[in-house]
Amino acid sequence: MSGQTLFRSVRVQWRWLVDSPLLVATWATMAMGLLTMVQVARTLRSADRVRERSGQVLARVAAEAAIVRLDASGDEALPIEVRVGRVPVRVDRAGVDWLLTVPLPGGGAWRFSCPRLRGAAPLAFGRPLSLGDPTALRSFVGAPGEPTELPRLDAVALAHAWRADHIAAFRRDVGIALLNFEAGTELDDFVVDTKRPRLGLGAGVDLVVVPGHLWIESGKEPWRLWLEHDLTLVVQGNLYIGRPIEVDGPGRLVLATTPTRDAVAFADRDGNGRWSVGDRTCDGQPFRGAIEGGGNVYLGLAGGSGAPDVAAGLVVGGELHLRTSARIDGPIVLGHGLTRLGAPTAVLHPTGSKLFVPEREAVPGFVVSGPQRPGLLRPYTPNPASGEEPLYLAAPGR
Amino acid sequence: MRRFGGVQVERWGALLLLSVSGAGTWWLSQQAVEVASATSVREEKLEHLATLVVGGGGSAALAPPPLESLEGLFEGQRLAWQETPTGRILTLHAIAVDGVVR
Repeated sequence: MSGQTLFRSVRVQWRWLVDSPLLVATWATMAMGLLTMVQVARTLRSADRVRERSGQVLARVAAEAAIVRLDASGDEALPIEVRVGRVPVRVDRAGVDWLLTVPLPGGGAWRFSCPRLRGAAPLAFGRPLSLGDPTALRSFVGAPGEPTELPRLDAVALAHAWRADHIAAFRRDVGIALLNFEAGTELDDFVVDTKRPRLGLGAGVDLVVVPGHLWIESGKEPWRLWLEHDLTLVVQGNLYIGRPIEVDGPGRLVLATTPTRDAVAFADRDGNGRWSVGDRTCDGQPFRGAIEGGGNVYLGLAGGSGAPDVAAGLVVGGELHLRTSARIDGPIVLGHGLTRLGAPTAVLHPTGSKLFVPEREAVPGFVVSGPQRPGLLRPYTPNPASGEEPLYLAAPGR
Repeated sequence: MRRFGGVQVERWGALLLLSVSGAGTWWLSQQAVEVASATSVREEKLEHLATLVVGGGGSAALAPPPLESLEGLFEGQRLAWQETPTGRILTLHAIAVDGVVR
């Protein structure tokens, strides 16, 4: 019989696969085996992931304990090995910071860098709401029982900080006050460009001074800001917030206002944006200086719509004027009190979701206190990505 | 002597194969479920511990958060709170073979 004839006479039928009980049992066994293998593989993968997470957390706990122990004993003899429980932690220098290495049982190591801080940040930055004026406590329900010592701005840091008139994202606008109030202002008015997600600051710049009033114009679209690291905006005048503020990225934003010798803070009871009969100065002294004052914050503007929720901290050197209820995610520090404009039921909602750890973090621009200390640990990257550096300093807007 | 036909042998063989493979599959599956459950519990403890590592100890004026639920998380070591000038932190103590914490 030829080969061609042999193959032509054989016809494969699918019934052959299930004709025999033994064959069916074999197929069923293979299917069960496959399903079990998938289940076991999934379980092993999950266990492996948790084992790695366990190593990471253990390394973090050991590194935190080691750096605090080292700081207490001094670090002249670096590099050294500190034993925390059964975990050896090697501590070495990395520039002015510390570098901690924790070996893993199965090989490899977790590495952390730890900055050296000059002192602790003000405690108020670790709380959702802090009030400096005892009389202001009466205007809050559920407020902290005792007045808090208020954070102080670092004059030396302010003198060397970037200024808003050298940053393209801020422009002078002589007519912005007339759009919101019946009269203009005596100090310079700066308006931030809310369409820009980045301010175009140099690498590592964490403090900007606005030498006048700062306006965040009214609008429904929030001002979305990307921050690679923490940033403090110090307004040497009033702060007018007309739209929500959202912050993307790992950094946190702190907006701080401060009255000056030429612009004092006052409670603007009639909400007309300037000193008038019936208003009250915050320091109890006769009113003087610029008619619109300085150090005040206006949360919500007359022509605005919607709640100006702020995903940042607010340090109000003067009076906070609240037009509508608003949510504040960062620490709120009120130097004086709160004045309601518009809705009498306007409420401040401090969420406390973007607070600082005062004992282990510094807030840019504010005076620290206490002894030197280790900051928060960060995963160590030997070649961190360089920050943006503009080729030319931005010219002020015309 | 009773003779068994080929078909009967085949059927008994198939039944035996299904029984053994079914039992084995069920046993392996139970073991996997137990391991998955233990892994899930451990993961929850780790995530809770991660929230305590920095700033989770609370104010020195208040009692520290309890750590009993984290017992046995790390073999041969025990977690404990330690008061320092910069705040309350977590630390580890080795448990010796005789059960003494050092």
